Amino acid sequence: MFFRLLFYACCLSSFLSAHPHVFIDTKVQVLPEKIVITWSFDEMSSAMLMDDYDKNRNKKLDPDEIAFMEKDHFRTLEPYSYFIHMSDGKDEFDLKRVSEFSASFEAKKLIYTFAIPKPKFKKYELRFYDAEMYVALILKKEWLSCKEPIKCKIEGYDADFYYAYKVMVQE
Amino acid sequence: MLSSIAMAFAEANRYFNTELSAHFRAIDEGNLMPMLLIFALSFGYGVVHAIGPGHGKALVAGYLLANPTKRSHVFQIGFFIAIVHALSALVVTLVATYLIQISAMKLFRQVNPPLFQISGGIIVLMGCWLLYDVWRSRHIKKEQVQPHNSRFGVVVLAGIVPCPGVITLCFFAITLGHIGIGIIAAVFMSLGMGLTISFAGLAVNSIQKVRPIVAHPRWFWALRLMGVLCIIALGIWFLLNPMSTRAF
Repeated sequence: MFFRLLFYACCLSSFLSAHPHVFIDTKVQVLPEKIVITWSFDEMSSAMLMDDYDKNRNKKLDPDEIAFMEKDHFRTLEPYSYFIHMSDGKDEFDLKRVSEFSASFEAKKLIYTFAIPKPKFKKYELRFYDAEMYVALILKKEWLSCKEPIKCKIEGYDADFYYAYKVMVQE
Repeated sequence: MLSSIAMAFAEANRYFNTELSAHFRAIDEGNLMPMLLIFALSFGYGVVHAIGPGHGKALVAGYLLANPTKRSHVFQIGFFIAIVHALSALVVTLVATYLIQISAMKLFRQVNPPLFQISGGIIVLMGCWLLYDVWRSRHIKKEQVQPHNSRFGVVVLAGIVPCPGVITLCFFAITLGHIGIGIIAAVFMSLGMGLTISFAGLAVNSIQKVRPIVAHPRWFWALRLMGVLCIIALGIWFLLNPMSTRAF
């Protein structure tokens, strides 16, 4: 009984230790050869990141600033699978490869665009969540586009201890 | 059902974040309305933000299960935690910006993980002391349990880790040149968080007043013991799961 209580308390406390502070509007384009993701950060997080990476304070991201941002910020998200997890419906796979990274600062928001390779499956899910729940990735139907004949739709996804979004793709 | 609640929670946080950003930018237009709206929105953001996981609610819940207390003390605990939580965030933001001139997020990444673990260690120690206290008083009935001053320790332990939400808000205010309004907004946000933490504490405190608990001293004692074990488990979890120092 004691250990069971302790176990439940531990589970409860892990549930009670995080909540979102960074909000990313996520756009997904499923193309025949790749998937293009666009992250649009909330204004507050954008201001913080720009303070770190817009070294010359011109409110634009120059190529060398983008390169440093990619190395110093974006690539550090690899251990978190860039908050994108692929699944064939049974197993979940972390994202190992991203390409075509670019960043810009538009309408007071920091925008990241990058491409991810398509999985080999005909039917798969892209699950968008941060396991530590510090970042909330928000997806909306109007932010999803799929090149015909690919079909896709957005649904809620149970990320173990909170709900996130997933995109279901049928090639 | 659960999914829509969770998504609504994330969306609500995003709503407050977006609205606050917009009104901060509108201050420069020169009228008073955006400022008043910032304070109201900050209070609302605090309420909603603290509904989510974190902010010391689990620690308060465990503590109040172990130490049933007066309603006024529950509010005292809730609001003091929120104020300490916001103050520590303010200190981090101001020190980062004006003293050592690095971004608040960078300092936050350096300060938070060790603070999180230190508070975890002290929570375990406090839990052990409360365990001793609960064990010693296993024959005492509810009416005889006296609220003690350890509640101020709980306030410090639960609040000392800076609130990233307040850091973000203040830092944003600083970048726009509205540090004063940012500080007042942080105070309103902490009042909102205090209200939520207090209500969570009241809910737990009221469990102690349920008839079967009142009628059976053994159950009452078992509940107190459970509260203490929750505190110790929480402290152990803080110790074993250091916060990540990642980019966000």
